[in-house]
Order: sequence, then C-alpha cells, then structure tokens
Amino acid sequence: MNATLTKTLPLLIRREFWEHRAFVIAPAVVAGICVFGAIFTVKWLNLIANHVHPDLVKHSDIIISVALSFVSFPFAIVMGVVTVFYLLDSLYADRKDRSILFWKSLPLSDTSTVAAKVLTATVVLPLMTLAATFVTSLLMAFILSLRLNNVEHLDIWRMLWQPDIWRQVYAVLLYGMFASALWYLPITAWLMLASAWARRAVLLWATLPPILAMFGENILFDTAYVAALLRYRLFGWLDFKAFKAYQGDRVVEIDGDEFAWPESVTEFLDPGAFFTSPGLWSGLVVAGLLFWATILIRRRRNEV
Amino acid sequence: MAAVIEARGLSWRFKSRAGEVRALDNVDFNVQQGRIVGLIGPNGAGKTTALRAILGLGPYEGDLKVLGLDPYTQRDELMKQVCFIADVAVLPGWLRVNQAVEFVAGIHPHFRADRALQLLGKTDIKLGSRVRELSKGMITQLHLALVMAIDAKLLVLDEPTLGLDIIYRKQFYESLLGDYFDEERTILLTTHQVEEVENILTDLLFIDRGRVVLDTPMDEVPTKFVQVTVSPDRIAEARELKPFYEREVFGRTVMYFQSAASDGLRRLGDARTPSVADLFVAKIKGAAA
Repeated sequence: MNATLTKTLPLLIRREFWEHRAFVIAPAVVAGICVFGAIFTVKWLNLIANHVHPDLVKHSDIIISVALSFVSFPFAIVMGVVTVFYLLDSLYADRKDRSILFWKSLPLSDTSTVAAKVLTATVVLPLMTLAATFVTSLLMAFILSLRLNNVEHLDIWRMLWQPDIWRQVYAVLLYGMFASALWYLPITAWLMLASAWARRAVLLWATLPPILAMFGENILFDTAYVAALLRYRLFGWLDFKAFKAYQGDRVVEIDGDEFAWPESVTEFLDPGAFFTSPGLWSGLVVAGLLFWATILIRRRRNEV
Repeated sequence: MAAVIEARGLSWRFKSRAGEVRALDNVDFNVQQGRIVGLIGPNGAGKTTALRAILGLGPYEGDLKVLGLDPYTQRDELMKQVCFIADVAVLPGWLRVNQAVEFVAGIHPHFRADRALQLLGKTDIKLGSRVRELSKGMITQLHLALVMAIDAKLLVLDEPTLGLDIIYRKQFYESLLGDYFDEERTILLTTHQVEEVENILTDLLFIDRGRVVLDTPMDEVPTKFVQVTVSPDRIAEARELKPFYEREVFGRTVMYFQSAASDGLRRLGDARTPSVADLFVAKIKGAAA
C-alpha cells in the first residue's frame, strides 16, 4: 500500500457514508428501539428480578455477559441487510445515474475504488455495528441499573458494571464480527461482481445464477452439491468454526442441580479451529478471484 | 512542440444487435501541446468513442499514447494530468457541493480548492446544496468550476456547454481562454455549436463514420479551402474544376474547392474562406456523395 492510497482510502470511505445515509440511520433506529425497550419493559423485568434464584445471582457473570452479547444481534441483523443492499448498489448506482464518468475523471484506480467499498463493507460497517452496540448497551445497562436499583437481593450496580465482563464481551463480539466478515467475504465479492456486471436487476443477477445452478444440477444429475455448498457458506454455522461449545470442567450448583458453567464468554472462542479451517481459506481464495474479476469489469463497463 | 496525443491505427469495435460496429476504424492523428482542437463530427461519427479511448474508459486496438501513457491500463496515473467533462452534467444527485470540492481536493494532486470556491462564488450555487437540488445549468457550472480548478495538461470537453444558456456559454469560453488556457495546456473539445468555438480553435479534426476526414490547423484553412458563390452563367465551368461539394443557397450555387488557386476561382464568382460549420457540412456531405 503506497502513500497516496493511505491518503485517498479514508476519503473514499467517507464518500460511501455521504452516499449511503442508511449506514448511520439504520443503527440509530435500532439503538432507539433498544433504549425505548429498556425504558418501558422494566415492569416484568422487575418481577423476574424479584424472584430470581439466589444461586443464579451468585453466578450471574456469565448470564450478564451472554445478555450483553445478545444486544449485538439486532444490530448485526439490520447492518447485515444494509450491507447486502449496499454491496448490490456499490458498483451499479454510479453507472445507472451516469456519474461514473465523473468518478473516472479523477486520478483513482478502479482497484482503489473497489478496495474502498470492500473495506467499507468488511471493516468499517462491522466496527460501526460494534460501536452502536456498545453505546446502546451502556445506555440500556444504565437504565436497567436505575430501574432495578431497589431490588433487595440484587446488587445490580456491582453485577452489571464489571469492566472485565465488558472487556470479555467486546473481545468476543469483535472477533465474531471479523470472523463472519472473513467467512462471508466470497459472498461480498459475489455481490460486488453482480453489481459491476448487471445492466439492470442486480438482485436477480446476484441470486438467479446460484439458484439456477442448484436446480440445474438437481435436474440433470440428481445431485445436490451446489445446494450443499451454498448452505455451507450461507448457513454453515456448524462448519464455521469460530466458536465452540464450552469444554471446560467448571461446574456450579443452581437450585440443587449441577451445571457446566464457564467463567467467561471468551471460553466459547475457537480461533485456532477457525484460522486453520479449509472452509475459511478456500472462501478467501474464491473471494480474491471474484474481486479480481470485479475490477476487470469495472475498468471497461461505464454504463448500464 | 511535443505531441500530447498520438494515435496510430486506432480502432474501437463493439458488438451490437446489428453486428459488429467499428466506431473507430484505423484512425491516425496527433494533438500537439498548446493547441485547442475541435473534434467535430455528426452524431454517431465516433467522437465520443475517440474521447473514451483517450480517457482510458475502455480497451482499444492500435497504438494510443496520451502524455506518453497508455490510457486504458494507466488511467489513474493519466488522470493526474488530464481532466474531462463528459457530454452532460453527470454529477451524482446525493453529492453536496462542498463534498464535491472536498473530495476532488483530497484525490487530485493538482486541484486548487480556493480557485474552485472562487469560481463557485460567481454563481448562485450554495455550498450546502445537493446536486439533485441544482438546475441542470448549475450542475454544469459546478462541474466546470471543479475542472477548471485543476492544473491539467490536457483538458477534454465533450459538449461542455450543453444545457447552458447563451450568457453562461459565452462566459465559459471566455474564462477558458482568459483564465485557463496557456501554451503549456492543450484542450480537446467536441461541440455541436461549432460557431461558438470557431474563434478559439487552433486545429480542426473532423471525423465521420469512424474515420478522420479532415485534420488541419485553423490557420491553414484559408489556403486549403475556398467557398465560391458561383455566378449562374459559370456553373458548368466551375464544375469542371471539381468542387468536392456544392449546394443551393437562396437560389444561388455555392461550391467548395480544395487547395485550388483562388485566383482562377475568383473569376467564377464571390470566393472566400468557408466558415467551420460550412466546411464541416461540405466535408461530411461531400464525402457521402
């Protein structure tokens, strides 16, 4: 990476934010709903808090960690959808409104244009998702602390506001965001390829070829390798080895029964398995080839 | 003077439903530094295609060097020295005026933001406006302000004043000549309003159906071409001198001759140097006949 690229890339990424205001609006809306929920649903929460078993209160660290991690789900889902539509639009919108000739009149290589969009989708948006989750979690935790302040056997301030818990949760979320960004990189590349290629109906170009390949294979050969491959990449959370079940031998007693009970959510991480999984690396190779094809198409296709 | 653009055997083919189209067919031409070249041709002649090849917007066949670079593979490098405006105002609707200035300032090493802002200050454009809120003329003004704030060696203008009113068109060409152009720079422009640029061009490049039909400096036009309004009794005599085009104007016959001795032609009627527009029509129609 040369000096001009380190100077232009941040500007290119800001350009994406100028164009796509959903990057800011979408997480703001989700945050609003979450905070609103925290304010107005504490009645039944109070009820639960009043009847919670003292053993659970004693071993609450992991429960709170998991609950804090779950705050990321609505953000991740909404930002995932935003990212997919962003990618479909990324190399199509400026061809459609013909502004591509303006962008191409500037000393910018097609490689840096594509690179800025890939970075936006795989680094910047996940980081924003995480930041939005963090701010929202702080607000929600604060609201809940105030609301559950007078529940007697619940020392809510001590339970919720442990820096270690927050550190562990955000280590897990950061890792999870980037593991999935890497896992889904071939999908990212495929969507951008469709966006660079299609003269209209980008969504159809992105979805029809794999669907046709799936049915074609099924009809012609009565096999389902394409379907299996797609399922593996899209929903293969079991094959996506970034996380694992708790394998430690720590056991705690809750209401007379024994439970396997990890001390920290970081014990669910399995970076060793993830970074040595052939699924990850073969996906990255495919993504590289698709990005290369995307850049070649971007170089010569200046209209819809 | 060095050649800014050198094209040898330049061809551009594309496939259409009707079969393969040769938008440019084995074309040779040079553009020298410090010239203002008018690239003129009828619709579909290959003007825009020629500009696209020069700007690196697609793969071509043959040899093409712009400022010594291969435009297609070295476009990003080339665009540090070249700026262009495509045929219509094509800035994206979501972009704000100040964002446009900030973006180009960050990307272009030879862009002077203060100059762009000064040019914009002379217009009614507000810095906070989005492009989609501007009129078509304002978008063009914005685009021109951005481009004219770039110290480029080659400026390519494809129908730059399309959609502008006559006052702004005149202003544009005046500032192009007065503030922008100097001996170091080269301008290549296409326009349908040939009369408007006639006085500023130094060179003519006519193309028709993918081929160059005329490539001449303006100051050689008077010695190369003569337009004669022929006296009615001399028409047969005049035709023997082989005009490359003739037409009827208000009942009188006007003939166009190539590098003929104008002394001899003067006897036939009123002889003078054709305007660029007339020469263009004569060349294109004459070639078609």
